Amino acid sequence: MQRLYTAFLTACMCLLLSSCVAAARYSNRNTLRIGWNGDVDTLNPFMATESQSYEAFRLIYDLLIGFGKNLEPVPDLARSWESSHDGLKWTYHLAHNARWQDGQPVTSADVKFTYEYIIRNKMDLFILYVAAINKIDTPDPYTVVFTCKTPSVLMEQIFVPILPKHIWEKVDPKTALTREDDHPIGSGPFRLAEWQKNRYMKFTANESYFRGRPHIDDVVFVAFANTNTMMQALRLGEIQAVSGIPPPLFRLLKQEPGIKTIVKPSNGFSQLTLNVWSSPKSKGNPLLRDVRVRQAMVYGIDKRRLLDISKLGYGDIGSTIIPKMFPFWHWEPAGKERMDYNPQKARQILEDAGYHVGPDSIRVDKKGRPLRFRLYARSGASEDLATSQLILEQLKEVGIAIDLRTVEKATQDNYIKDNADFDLAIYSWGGDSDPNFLLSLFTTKQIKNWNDYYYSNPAYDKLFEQQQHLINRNERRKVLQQMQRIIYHDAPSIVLYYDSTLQGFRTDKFAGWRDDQVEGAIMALGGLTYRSIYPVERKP
Amino acid sequence: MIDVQHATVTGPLELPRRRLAEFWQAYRKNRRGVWGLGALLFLIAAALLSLFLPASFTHTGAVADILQPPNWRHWLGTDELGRDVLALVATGARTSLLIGITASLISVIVGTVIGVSAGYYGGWIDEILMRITDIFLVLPWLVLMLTLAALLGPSLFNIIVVIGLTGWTGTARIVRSQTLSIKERPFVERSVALGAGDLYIIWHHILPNVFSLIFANTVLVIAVTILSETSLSFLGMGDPLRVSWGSMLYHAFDSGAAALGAHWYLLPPGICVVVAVMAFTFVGQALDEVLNPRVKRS
Amino acid sequence: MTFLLSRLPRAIFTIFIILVINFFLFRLMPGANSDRNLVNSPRFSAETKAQLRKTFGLDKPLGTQFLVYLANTARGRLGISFAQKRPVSDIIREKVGPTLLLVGTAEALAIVLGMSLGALAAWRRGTWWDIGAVGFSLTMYSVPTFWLGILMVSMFCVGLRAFPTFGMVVPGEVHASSWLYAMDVIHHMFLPVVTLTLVLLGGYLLIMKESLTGVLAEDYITTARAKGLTDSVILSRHALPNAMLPMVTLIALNLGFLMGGAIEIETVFSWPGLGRLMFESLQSRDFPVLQGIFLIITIMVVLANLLADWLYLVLDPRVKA
Repeated sequence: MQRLYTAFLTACMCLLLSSCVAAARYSNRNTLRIGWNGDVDTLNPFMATESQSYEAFRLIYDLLIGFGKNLEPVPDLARSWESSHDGLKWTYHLAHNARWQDGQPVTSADVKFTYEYIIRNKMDLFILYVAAINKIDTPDPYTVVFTCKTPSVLMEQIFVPILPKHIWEKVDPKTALTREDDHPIGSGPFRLAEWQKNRYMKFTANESYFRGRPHIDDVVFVAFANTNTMMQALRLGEIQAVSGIPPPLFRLLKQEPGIKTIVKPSNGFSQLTLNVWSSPKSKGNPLLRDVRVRQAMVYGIDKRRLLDISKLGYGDIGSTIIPKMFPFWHWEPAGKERMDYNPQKARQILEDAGYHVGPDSIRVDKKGRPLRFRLYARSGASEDLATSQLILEQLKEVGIAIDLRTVEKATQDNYIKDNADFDLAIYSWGGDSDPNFLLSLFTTKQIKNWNDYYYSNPAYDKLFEQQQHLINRNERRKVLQQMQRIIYHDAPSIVLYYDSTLQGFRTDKFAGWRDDQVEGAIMALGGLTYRSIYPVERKP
Repeated sequence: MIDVQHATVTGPLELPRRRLAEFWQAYRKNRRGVWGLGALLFLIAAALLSLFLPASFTHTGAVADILQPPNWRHWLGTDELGRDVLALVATGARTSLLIGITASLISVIVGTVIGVSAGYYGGWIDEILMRITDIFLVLPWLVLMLTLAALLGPSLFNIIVVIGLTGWTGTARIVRSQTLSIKERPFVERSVALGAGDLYIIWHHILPNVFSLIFANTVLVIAVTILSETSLSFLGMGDPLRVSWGSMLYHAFDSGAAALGAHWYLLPPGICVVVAVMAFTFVGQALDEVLNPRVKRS
Repeated sequence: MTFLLSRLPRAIFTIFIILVINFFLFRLMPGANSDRNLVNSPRFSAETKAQLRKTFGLDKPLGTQFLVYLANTARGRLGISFAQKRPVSDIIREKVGPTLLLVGTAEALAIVLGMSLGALAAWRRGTWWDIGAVGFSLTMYSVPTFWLGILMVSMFCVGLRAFPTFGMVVPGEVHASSWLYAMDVIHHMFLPVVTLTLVLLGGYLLIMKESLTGVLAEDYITTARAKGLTDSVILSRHALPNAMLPMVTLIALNLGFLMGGAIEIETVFSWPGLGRLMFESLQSRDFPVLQGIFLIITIMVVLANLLADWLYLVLDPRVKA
């Protein structure tokens, strides 16, 4: 028994010791810790798709032209630029004092090399941006001239990280895709110091950053497996900022001292995807191909209620496929064109179309086929599940039966993309800054790729081709509005609501958060916070 | 209940009323067993009562009501969707108990079939069945369950099947041992000599003598099954459209309610699980004592 | 030696069956054979996806893939993770350490404490020690592991602010010495280990108590007492070694359960181990990683079972005599 006692005592002493040490342990470096759910998928710029990866790139690399707080073009590596009248020739003037993190100077050769590497090797992630480029010249070490085949709207807003030529010219392009970059060399404000995959990623300030050393020493991104632990860590001050707070928690955090909460529009939205494929290969309910049924659904869904219950009101009611976050491109239907919640109208449309109420209050067509559709929702997305259950009730009121099934994400993808074996699906679409891409989802070419709706409309396809070459923003806008109008009325997708980004950051240790950025203080394309943030006691 | 020495039983399911009274007399002596039985009856009552709850109690509530601490309107407070926690706990009892009992029945039936077959037929059938049992024992149960759940999809039926099909190994082993020892008994040898077929012997001799063992074992299996379902649900693999104690804990954790100290949301489902598991364990142990007396416990 | 030889075929057979199940089980899951597991973005062209499929060897027929899998596994090459695009063996090597640390420490503590407290309960039958220990064990046995973890965090991290809430070390911290690093790990490890230990403790305590009670009632113990041997000698020389036999069996049986407990604890405490990895890979259908983990766990459990069986043989007094 004495064994037990001594063992117990030793254990207690260990505990006390470690606690004491722990309390005095933190070094006096100014480390900004940020938490995120999930993690960087890869630091290979040609393969990365997660938003976390892009946040990391903002720290490591520079762009030619950066993003401002409203996502407007601002100088980055290129301190100034001009274009010719016809929009075919673009000249960029680079900073003279930029250096790579290994000491070498950044020159126009690096810019030329980066773009040519992408073009020559057809790097998918950037190919859209560089498609119009014909020739790249470097008249002197700090000037780059791009000559384009057609006028391209994208020359001012390209997220192409500038890579060091002296490193990447040694990389065999064939291995470029599968290569993991553990020691990336960039010219940005921070360099990667340590990366423990799926645990944390540590960046250290770049002393020779051309805009001046950042005011903090380190930035550490901590990967969390679940939101609960992340929120706890924020509350206890173990991390300083979080993006993507669940609405109920957000409400309660608002009263927490020392934490500032902000709501920002996001480019994500939640939608009902409808299977409208007219091919015999489709395993979806053919009644969904009737546009009147789809429109009745739009009238039958109370989007306001969905938003209030699933998101506690944080967000915006959905309408068209381009989110409200792009006010220039977004078209909001007005007047008679609007399809607001109106169950009476929904019933009317179905009645007029010949769907009469059957014995179990579900409508049937002339052949007796019921309006019964399968809805697949992701089991991990609790907001989607709440939304689905509400939709189920609402559509029941107008005589449409929904058979709600929950599956894993991978399974849902399989049903939708591989087999077209679904009627309705609900999921959130997130984080795309490119309206062009969202519109491409409805083109015939994307069927069996990313056109989950299996929608095919030649008139729409034609408009899509047309707008890709319009450099005049106002002309392009007219075409985009026309396209949105088509999708809105045809309703292969029912946009339920536009998300908001809910962020929280602590104000007790660090100040200088750029929460004026339209996307939020962190996870913003501009990456402005990392350059301006400073420890509270050391105002620069 | 069943006279093993004289083998006067005719079938495994007869329970004369006198025997029942005797049984209760013996059972009553085990205080823990009585307590367990009481707790179980309480939980079952709560589960049944939940069927009569007005729908408004488990519907998503008014938006202002989320994560409220206990008050007069909601005795156990509300969850992150504004629903009454007490109502959820009672509804959860229904699901958790249903899954617990049904999945255990599957486990026990599968385990018994395998155990009896392995023990009775012996030889290479025994070898193969025991190897299969080995494999199921070696694969960590949670890992196996998660994989099967991912394979089949998260629905109530699938969860029951998954838990049922991964929890039979204990029963199989016990039943096999018992079958082996029964097989050697004189009355079985006599039956064989008289020309009785395999199925006759299994049905009339083996099963009745295994039954009391299985019965106690089943109740213990239910205890484990409830824990399994709770774990599965906590990891997000439960049926998301149903309320169970495990799914309540999953939502409490996932929505961050735990992070904000919503103890009224976090404690009740967990306590219910503990009480249910302990109750089933006590009842199972008591049954075991009464039905399968072995070493004297002085 | 003969023991090993007799058990070896059975062990190898089990491992082989696991390999087969390993390969086919994951591929049966819906969405397992999709390109989306390799690259989850609409921006990638069909050519790139085809190229990636080729790199991962997924363009070959299933039978060929299976043979390749067997050959590679025999050579210790566990494939490349879809999600992280690096060797599975590297990933597992990173995560095995933390899991073994957590699980090993908890198991060791549970065994030692379980045995001592169980022996105490058996030795002092009927006293408060006995009743308390048994009650405590039954309660711990009934508690869901993750729930206990969450409660621990609520009480000690949020309530008392005595411990950190996640991870193995403070992320990004540079420790001035290995000693400080170890302290940091202990600080982070304390709660997860205590939680897991508590959950395991109950079972071992009860088994030890049952077993020792049975042993103490045996004739040779009465004889020893009559001979005038002291309590401690009786316990250490005669009773305990015999009572430990069922413990050994239980420890081996428990290994499967241990992994489940590890998954739950690692989720609650964000401990960077195999359990969490397994769970995330399941959701992203990263089956090279899944296969690797399954294999490692299976081999460990089979080995542990072999060891347990051997220990049983060694400890069994009937064999000794």
